Amino acid sequence: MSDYTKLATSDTPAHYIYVLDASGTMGNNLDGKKRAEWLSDALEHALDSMIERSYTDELYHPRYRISVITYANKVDATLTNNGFIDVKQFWDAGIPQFNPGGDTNTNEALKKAYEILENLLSDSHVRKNCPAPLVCHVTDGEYNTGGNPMPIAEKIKKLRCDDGLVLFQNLFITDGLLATPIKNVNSWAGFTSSNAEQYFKGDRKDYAVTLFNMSSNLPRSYASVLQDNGFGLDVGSRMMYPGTSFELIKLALVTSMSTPFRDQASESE
Amino acid sequence: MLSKSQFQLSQNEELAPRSELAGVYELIYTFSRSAERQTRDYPGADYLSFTYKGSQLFFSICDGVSGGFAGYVAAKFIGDQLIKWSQHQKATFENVADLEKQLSEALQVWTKDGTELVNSTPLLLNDDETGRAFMERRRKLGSQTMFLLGILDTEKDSAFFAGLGDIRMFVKYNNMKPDFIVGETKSRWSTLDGQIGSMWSKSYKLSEIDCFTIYTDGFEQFSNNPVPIQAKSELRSIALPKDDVTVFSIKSSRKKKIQHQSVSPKYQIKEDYIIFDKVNNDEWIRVFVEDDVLEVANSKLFLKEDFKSAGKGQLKYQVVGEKTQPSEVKLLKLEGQREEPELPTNVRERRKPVVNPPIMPNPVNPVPPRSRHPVAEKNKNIGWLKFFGVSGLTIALVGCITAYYFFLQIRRQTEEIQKLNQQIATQQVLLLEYKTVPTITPVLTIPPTITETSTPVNILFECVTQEDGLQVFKTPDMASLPIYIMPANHKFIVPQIPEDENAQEWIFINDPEISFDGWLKKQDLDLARICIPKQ
Repeated sequence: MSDYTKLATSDTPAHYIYVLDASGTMGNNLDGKKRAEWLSDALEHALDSMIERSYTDELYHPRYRISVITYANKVDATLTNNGFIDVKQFWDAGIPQFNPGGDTNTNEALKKAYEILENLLSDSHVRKNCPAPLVCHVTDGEYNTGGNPMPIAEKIKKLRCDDGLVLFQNLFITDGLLATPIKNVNSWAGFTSSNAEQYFKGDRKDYAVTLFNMSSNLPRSYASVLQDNGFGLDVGSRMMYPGTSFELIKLALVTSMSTPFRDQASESE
Repeated sequence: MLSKSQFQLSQNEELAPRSELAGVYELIYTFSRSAERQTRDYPGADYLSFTYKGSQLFFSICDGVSGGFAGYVAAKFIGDQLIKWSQHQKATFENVADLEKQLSEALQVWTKDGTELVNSTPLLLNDDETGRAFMERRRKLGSQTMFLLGILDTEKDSAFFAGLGDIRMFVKYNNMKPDFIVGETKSRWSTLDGQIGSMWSKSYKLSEIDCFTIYTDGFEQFSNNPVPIQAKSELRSIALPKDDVTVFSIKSSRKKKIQHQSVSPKYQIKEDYIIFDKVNNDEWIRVFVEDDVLEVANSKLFLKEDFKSAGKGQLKYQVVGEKTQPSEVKLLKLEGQREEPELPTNVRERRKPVVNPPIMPNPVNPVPPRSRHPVAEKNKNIGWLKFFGVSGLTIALVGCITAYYFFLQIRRQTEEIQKLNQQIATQQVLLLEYKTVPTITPVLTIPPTITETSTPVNILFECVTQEDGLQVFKTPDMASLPIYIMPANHKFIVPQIPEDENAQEWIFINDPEISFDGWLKKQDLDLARICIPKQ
């Protein structure tokens, strides 16, 4: 069954890859704070939620594994040893502060993500039993070195396991992008139309449309978990989020970890 | 110090299935922590408490929320508070709304003491710095629990229940379809906020109810197909569950008129079994060792090994009524089929795992000693006539006539004895086939497309004999579907899939592991009909 319903458990953990743009422009300000700092804060928030969900009473259940890839001119996946590590292990080592600098080599970063995913899915247990992995790509601008990332992004989206195709999500941190501002993040339904043109404006519009087309549709199970957390994203809405405010950046990171998991109220695993 | 009429569960250890008379109530209950909590020696989040006096029974079952701070703390706290509170209420069939309102108010009042308790509760696992930080943060949000409260009174003929959360209750009426109640998952009580979400409440006339079975959501085997628990032996399969399991089943003893009650020595202890002589085949009896209700079954025969779990004490039984035959399952003989010799009643009663075969084969001597039939016993001394010689033709003639008369009598009775012995032998042959069950090859063939009742298929089970002697029949890949199997030797067809509660002639499977206590015969399994109800 490929409907993204497999649960994140100790035996079948969820796998998330965060591909983070650390190029020079991430040092630019957004609402009085560097974009990289917003990202770091949002990442901490998401990891915090993952760990919170991993404790039943005082017992820890390692149900989330993450991989972090940062990129500028070069790609670095050493934070998570070029693979996946348990989220608590990453947390205990401290949330990294990103030092922006250099160009934007998105293509190489996604190639690294593909390599890590391919290695992960070579494990038959993961392929058959674990939730479909998710790639969360965070950037603030178009690639300017390394070539067009679209082909490798499409290749990633064709990877599959029993739970479904690999999910691909984009967070585009920039201001002045939206044609119509989002007033209430909690009640926002997401980009529900397939016509991306209507949503964006300004000189970043074309790349926003590219990222929109690169993004998967939000699975029903994810929408359900988000609803439980007070967000109203529609099933099938595009997993592309405009990072025009910290609240939206947080929403994107929370969405990235919305694999269904055992109900904490009743399940001690 | 608790009195004999009070019970408070220890959340730190498992409670083997227990049955007892609590005043006028018959209770069956058990508790097991999740496998993980057992392994890590962490308290269970479930809690059970009850007390009874006179015609009243008060109980609470709680399921602490493990996603919050120390759910076991809120569970025990509110469980005990509910019992104290309920003893001051006047629950009747009519005042449900009032009770619910008063309970809601009390739930708010208890937050103060609950919060103090949470603030003074130490963390149990100290070696995880991150975990401690997260738990301290949770502490500020309070501890949460779900609960179900019950107040029963036979004199008022009233049973009142209220709950927050998804603790489940199965209500078996005497003459109506059962109720199955599941509250809202997100409703709960919090030491910080009091009642969260909506409360449910309901009342019943106790005289209309046969049995209430309440259980927490960890009791997975009943999640899809709940049934009432009416004997302790039905709880034997709970071991190392994924989540904590608490089961609490209540029958009110007074609603069934006890026809007669017996104490020792109105039973006989045989080599492998115990037989209660005065019980008729169609009667249900309740067997006790002291006040511990051991079994309830429609059988006069019980295996001695069934009594191993009971403590020492006086063995006695009550006859509580006659077996009620299912009225909606029609038995139709197929044309042209030979009628089989009738089996003992309890051979055909397959939904009661407590009931055992009337004659258990001896593992050393597979043929059980054949007891002489009572008629045969009576006639064994009627053999030879002694003919006293008396001279004279008249006397000789009278003697000949008399002898012929006795000859005819003896021949008739000999034929009767032979016929009865033949019947006994036939039954023994049938019963001996129980021994063949453990040797069945683990193969299962179920055409996945079967949705109707009458397609015969070959079905074989893997049989595993556990340490306690319980035979477990595994049926791979049948975890979620309710499946009925009709033994082939019954020679009947079922015109429609019966309601669950009426399917007493059927073996009902809702779990890949089921136990029959040696009730399946090889011939049943080889040619059983299987049907999977349409989804």
